[in-house]
Amino acid sequence: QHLSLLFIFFTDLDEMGLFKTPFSGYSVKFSPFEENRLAVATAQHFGIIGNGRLHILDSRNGGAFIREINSFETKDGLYDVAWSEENENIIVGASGDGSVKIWDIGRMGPDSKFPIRSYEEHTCEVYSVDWNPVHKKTFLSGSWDESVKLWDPMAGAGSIRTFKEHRYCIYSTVWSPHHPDRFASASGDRTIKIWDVKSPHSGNTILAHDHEVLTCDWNKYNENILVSGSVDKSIRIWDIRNTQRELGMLKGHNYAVRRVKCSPHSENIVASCSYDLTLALWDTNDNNPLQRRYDHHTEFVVGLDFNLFIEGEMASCSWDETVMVWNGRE
Amino acid sequence: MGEEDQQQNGGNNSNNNANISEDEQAAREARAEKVRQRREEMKTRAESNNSNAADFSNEPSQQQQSRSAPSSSDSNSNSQPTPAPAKLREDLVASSVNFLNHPKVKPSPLTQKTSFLQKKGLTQEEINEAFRRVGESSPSDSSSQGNRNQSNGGYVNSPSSQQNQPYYPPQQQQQQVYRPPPPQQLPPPPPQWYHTGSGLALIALGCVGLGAGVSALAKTVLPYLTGENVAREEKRRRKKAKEEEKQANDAKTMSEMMNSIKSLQEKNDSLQENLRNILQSQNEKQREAPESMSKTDKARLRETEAELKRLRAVLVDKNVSGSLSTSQSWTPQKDSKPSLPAWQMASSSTPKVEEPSSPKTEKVEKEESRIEEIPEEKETAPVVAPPDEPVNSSKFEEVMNMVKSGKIPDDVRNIDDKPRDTDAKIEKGAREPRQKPWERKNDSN
Repeated sequence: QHLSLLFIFFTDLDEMGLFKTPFSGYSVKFSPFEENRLAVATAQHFGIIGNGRLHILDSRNGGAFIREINSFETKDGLYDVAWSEENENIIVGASGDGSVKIWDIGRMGPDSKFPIRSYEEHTCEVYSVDWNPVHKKTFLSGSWDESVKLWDPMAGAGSIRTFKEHRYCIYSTVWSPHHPDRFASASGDRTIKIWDVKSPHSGNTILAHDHEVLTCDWNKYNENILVSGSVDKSIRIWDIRNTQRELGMLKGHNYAVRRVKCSPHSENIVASCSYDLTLALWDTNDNNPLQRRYDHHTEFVVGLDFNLFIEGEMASCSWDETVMVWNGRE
Repeated sequence: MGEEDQQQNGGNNSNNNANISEDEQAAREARAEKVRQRREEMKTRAESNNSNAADFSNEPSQQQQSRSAPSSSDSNSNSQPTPAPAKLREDLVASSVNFLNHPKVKPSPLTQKTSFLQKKGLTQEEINEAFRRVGESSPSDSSSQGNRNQSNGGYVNSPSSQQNQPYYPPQQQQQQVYRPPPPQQLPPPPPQWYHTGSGLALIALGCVGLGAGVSALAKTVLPYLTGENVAREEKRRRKKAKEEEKQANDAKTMSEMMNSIKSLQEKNDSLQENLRNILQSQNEKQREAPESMSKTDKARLRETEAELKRLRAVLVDKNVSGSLSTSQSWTPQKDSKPSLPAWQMASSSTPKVEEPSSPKTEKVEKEESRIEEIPEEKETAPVVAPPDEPVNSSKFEEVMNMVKSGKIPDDVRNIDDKPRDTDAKIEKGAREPRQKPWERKNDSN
């Protein structure tokens, strides 16, 4: 009677690991310390309204076995998460109530489920947080209030700097992996700005897309290359030395491109996820750059990350309330 | 901003549906608007696809009463009120119970069973409930704090009081009325030529005018002729008897084949139902069938489709050989063509899965339409979601509408997330930062 169910149970070999979250997934990030660890930021009811939750997960066997090792609840939805590059237990969350919260996931005791910091400076939803991978001491937050803020959690109570130039929501702020003071911001005003923290004004503004730019990421092997994704469904590759025109375009998604990530192991591999429910893997050296398509989600795919220590391993999260981990090389 | 102030006032207003400030409402709507903007694109495209999907929803009107209750409610998913987001899904729990009770599954380690159920999309509470019913304790009953948080956060653990019957109904076979073939009409008897023969003989007699000689001739010829006719008649009778016997045998073999076909179809149906359950459980919301499946689901779908194909091939083979001899005696039932459920045909946004299944269906349908008389349990398909529309669209709309009217969903809790121990220093961790892959590679250069 339940033959097929059993059949599947016993031949479950090429499993794609799955973790169910109670809320819509918004961001997934692998730990820079621990190859088996990842964090997931989630928000209730698609992030429209409701609570948030941060999950700390442990993933084994190429993602075949995922379990939760900790979780933290927030009043408002969480839209992004970033691991500290200096302390394996410190983690930052970007909240819909405009706050940036820090947790110490190694804490014990009755207060261990509460954040140890809550920075409340942004006046709108914080949509992006990113920790500096070079100097490792600071992190950025990007908000719908059109500003980017720089924070040093060891230094004091407030932000160190505020960068306000964009004319609309900021969706993504990303440090350069090569220059400790450089970062890029992607905005709904259709531009990407390149900044140096030492200056309040951006060094470069790229008229990047025909619609809101939702995401950007730096190439890990070429310090001048930046990749962006937009509501206009395209992914564009930029040389920041000459931003008049893109170096190339990756087309294939049917809806907004929500996140792009440059591979930490390869100069020409880029991953993207989209509101077309799919993820894609691209090779920018190939004339037909689209290499793989993943359609394991049944809702908007919003989060995406590469494992720094297991080549080819990726994770994605989605509004379908699942987190998937798999290896793209197999 | 107003929103933050409200929350810092002890969150009085957070969970009421009355008395939210204008600021707060404006902030909510602003966020909802931003979130909604991307959704609009999907909606317009989905609406254009809806007209195509209408055909599938009209199809299975006949056989609906033979389907189990949950399925038929699924097929009316548009009118079905969306239940509270977090009660236990009885259908999943019940099928998990069946699964756990299976002799082959029982000896498996608990963790393996749990992780399997997790992968099928069950929440921890549902898994616990299934284990409870089976009489085992699930490994997560004495779970860590994290799990408990998960079960409390945003979820109301009230098992459904409505659907108490297990999801899997006892296998209902449609009682197909099997009527033996009507007795075959005898072919019209061949002309009684001995009469004409004898007539001819008489005429010959009259013509020739010979007396006794001709009559003697006739007398000798007649018995010979009638003898032959008797033989022929006997032969005919024997033939008739043989035919009837053959037909009885055919009928018997047909009925045997019918039974085996029936059981194959039952197997087929249960496979499809299981597949549908699995796929539905992956989505977690009670709505249209998934159109985009995980890799594993696709693999399973392929396997199941392969099995279905094999079953159908067997069906087709049996039926083809059967029809050659008895086709004229069957009353064709034109409506009962075997078919893959509509959701399976239309499901999946990727061509990879969709295209192979449609031509396959057509091919099989063509072959089996020759044997139209095979009674078939018609697959009642749930309403098909138009391809490329995310499964949670209606829920999304609901939440949007709530926000616009100043309400919030019931399961939003007033969580205290104020920081504690803010004097605690944030310091370098015990572990040294690890080198990044690109740093390593650049060094080696």
